[in-house]
Amino acid sequence: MLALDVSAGYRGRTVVEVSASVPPGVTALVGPNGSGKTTLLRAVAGAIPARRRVEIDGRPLGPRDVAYLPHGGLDPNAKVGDELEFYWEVLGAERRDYAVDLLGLKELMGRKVGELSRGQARRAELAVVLALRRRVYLLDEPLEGLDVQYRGAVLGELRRLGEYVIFTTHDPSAVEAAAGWLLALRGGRLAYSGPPSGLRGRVAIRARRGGEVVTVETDRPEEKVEELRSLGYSVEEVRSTAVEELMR
Amino acid sequence: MMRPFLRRVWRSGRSYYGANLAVNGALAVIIALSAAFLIPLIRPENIRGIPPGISPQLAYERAVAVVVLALSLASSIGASATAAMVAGGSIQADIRNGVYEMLLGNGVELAQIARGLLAASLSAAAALYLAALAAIGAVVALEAPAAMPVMPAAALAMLASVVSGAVLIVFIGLTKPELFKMATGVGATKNVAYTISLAPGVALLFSMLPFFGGLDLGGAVAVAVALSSAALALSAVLAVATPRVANREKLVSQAE
Repeated sequence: MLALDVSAGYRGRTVVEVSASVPPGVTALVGPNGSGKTTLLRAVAGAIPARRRVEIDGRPLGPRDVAYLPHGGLDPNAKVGDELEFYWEVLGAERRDYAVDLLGLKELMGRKVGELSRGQARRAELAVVLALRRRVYLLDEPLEGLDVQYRGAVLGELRRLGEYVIFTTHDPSAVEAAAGWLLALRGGRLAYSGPPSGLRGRVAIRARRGGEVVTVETDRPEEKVEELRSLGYSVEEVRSTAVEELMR
Repeated sequence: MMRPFLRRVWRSGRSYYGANLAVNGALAVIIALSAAFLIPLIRPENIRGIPPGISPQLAYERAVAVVVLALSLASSIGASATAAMVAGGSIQADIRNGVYEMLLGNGVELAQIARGLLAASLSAAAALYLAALAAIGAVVALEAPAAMPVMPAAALAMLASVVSGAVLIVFIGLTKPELFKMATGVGATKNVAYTISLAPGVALLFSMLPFFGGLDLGGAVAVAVALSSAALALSAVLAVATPRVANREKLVSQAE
């Protein structure tokens, strides 16, 4: 288990105070804007001063055990290739080709970061971190700005990245697709820690019949799905609204 | 570890402050070369108020040496501003672009960053110092060889001015980055951080002015050597202290 005991903030003001344990695998860190997700990741990664105890099975994490993806990190005036080379050299990247292939960066290497779209720049930022071989990955909104192709590729790779992957998101479907564990923050404190299935009290079902699309919420998803099907609807999505609630 | 920082600092310093660097560099060269025009204007018969007991020839030699000393320091201030801009521009841009957050969050120690930046800043200082020294040295050798004895003191003062500027800009960048104006560009000349980094060179120049009027070359050289040595020693202390007092929180949160 990865044990986190962190208290951090800025200019002497505590922004986040969290004590939690997460199992190996992919954990989604959710919460409304300003709930402390970014500060928590920064503190766990050691990017900002914090009172922090981060351990795996009782052993403290070393600085080279963690890979951390912040927002930004690339100089818009520099070429993508120069920026990646700088980081990979300083951080000791071990799987550069894997990151370049996964994120489709070959054609972008010679372009300036400032000329890229937000999604392309995010792919380059992701490449800095995904090229590292670390035990713990802390990814702050890794899917931000990605198109469907690369969103799927990154979501699919999260499980294979390392022992522990914690990513923040505002997208409930990303939680459904990738996360085996959920941490939810509210006002800098832990509001929920557990598997997403533990939250599935209320569910939203989207179904289609011809051109008609309906979305219904229910506490009994199986029964409602059957009912919709018997009425000739095809069910397109079943998702927990409880996760959405935690993001509001 | 040093090499990536050297490349980065030179590249981003150039790209953010290209115009300023060109202007400052040109200014340093112009100051150095102005010695070539000023020195021939000094003639023994033009020197007034010679202190008693000093021959006109000695007064002439001292006057030339004093001008050489002053111009050397002035050109070193230009070199120092240029070197500070290479390192400072890079630090400013990297804070704004979240580079330090990426590095610190991925296990790079603050001390490693500080060492890399100090090395890069000192490399800029060394390159520009040598250029300014070569320009002044060539002019003196060709036009006023009698003033050559003052060159070691001038070289030391120039070194102190450039090195202290290079160390100060990294110190400020990593401890008090709010002293940078976060907008880059031509407004850099109003930037508090750069002004502070030039202070040692300016202070050295002004500390010698009282000696120039009385053609007290010995006094000027003594003050130059003493203050330059002190500035170099303080720069060494500051360089050692920088990683210890660097502000991790400001390097990350100033980007927002």
